[in-house]
Amino acid sequence: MSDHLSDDELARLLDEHRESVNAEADAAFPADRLARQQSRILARIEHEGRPGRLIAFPAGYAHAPAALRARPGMRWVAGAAAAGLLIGVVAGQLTYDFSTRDRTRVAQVVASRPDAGAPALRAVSTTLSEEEFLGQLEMAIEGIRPDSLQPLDEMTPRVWEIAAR
Amino acid sequence: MSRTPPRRATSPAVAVAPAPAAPRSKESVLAGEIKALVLSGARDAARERFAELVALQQRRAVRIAYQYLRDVHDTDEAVQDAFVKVFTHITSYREELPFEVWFTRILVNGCLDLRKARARRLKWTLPMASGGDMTPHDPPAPQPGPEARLVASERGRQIAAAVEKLPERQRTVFTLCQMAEQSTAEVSQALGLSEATVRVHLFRAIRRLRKLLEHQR
Repeated sequence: MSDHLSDDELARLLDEHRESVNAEADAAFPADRLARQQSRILARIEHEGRPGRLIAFPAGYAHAPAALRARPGMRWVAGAAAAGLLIGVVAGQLTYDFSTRDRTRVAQVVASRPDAGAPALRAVSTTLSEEEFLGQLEMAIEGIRPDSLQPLDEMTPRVWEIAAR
Repeated sequence: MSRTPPRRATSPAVAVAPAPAAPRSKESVLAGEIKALVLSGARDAARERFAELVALQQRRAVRIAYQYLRDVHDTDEAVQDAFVKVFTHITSYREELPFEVWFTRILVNGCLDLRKARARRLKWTLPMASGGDMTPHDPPAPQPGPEARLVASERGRQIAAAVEKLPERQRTVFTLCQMAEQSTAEVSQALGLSEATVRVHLFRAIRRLRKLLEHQR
């Protein structure tokens, strides 16, 4: 077969090709498929003339903004509550910061002067003798003893008397 | 190749000014009636007449779209869209033009849009072939038959691949003239080009196809 394609040969090839593709198209679109296609076209055309259908938003989303729109006072209340909360949080944060800073500063001052706090406290004696402690205890309970026990109490020797012996 | 004119006899639309005595096609008459019905507000009656128009042009539309797209689903979509567009814009139909020309223009534009969309889709969804040359889907193989049919089928694939390699304008002109069997005058009206430009595009397309097919032999 020569490389050169004559006019007639090319024309014949193209004609054959056209016939072949048309046959493919006809086979792919038999009469019933064309009928279905036609009914789809007509259905689409029917919808073309109608105005677009509006789809409602879900009730939950639709009602909340409507309620706010109907009562603008609600929006002010909500805004004020939000602002109050914000101010409270900020103020609380600032107060906390200042108090923490003051405490830290006092601690630093005290630490820098170690003998400043010493005279403020009186030393509590931890060397109370056992006798003194028991004596104080007896004196404390003397006031609440009943009269019927008075003779018995007098017969009982005192701690400090025994210790003195 | 000496055959640049169309295979069909030159239509009455070739003349620059339409001849008053020229008979209008049945499709053109129907389209005029549908336009009048839509303008008068009788949309239901217009839809009924439109069904007749669809039936008259449907087979031809499917063949033209299939020549372009070589895919059954895309062809179905393109034809449906074209008919819906025709009805939607029927009030802008100029009755001095043959309806077939106006309809073909709408159909071809839709096919070109679909081809572009398909090319974009393939570009992003499929890895490029090793050859880098994107060819359309292979047409469904014809029914298995004798060897001659297989050879013809292979040759058909070669021609389809060669047509795919034509520049868009040349491919459109070639497809309309050669495959849809429209005259150069009809194609010039359908594409909004002068008839001389259409002839030049057709000549170049055939010259290029010849080279491509000779390479494949």
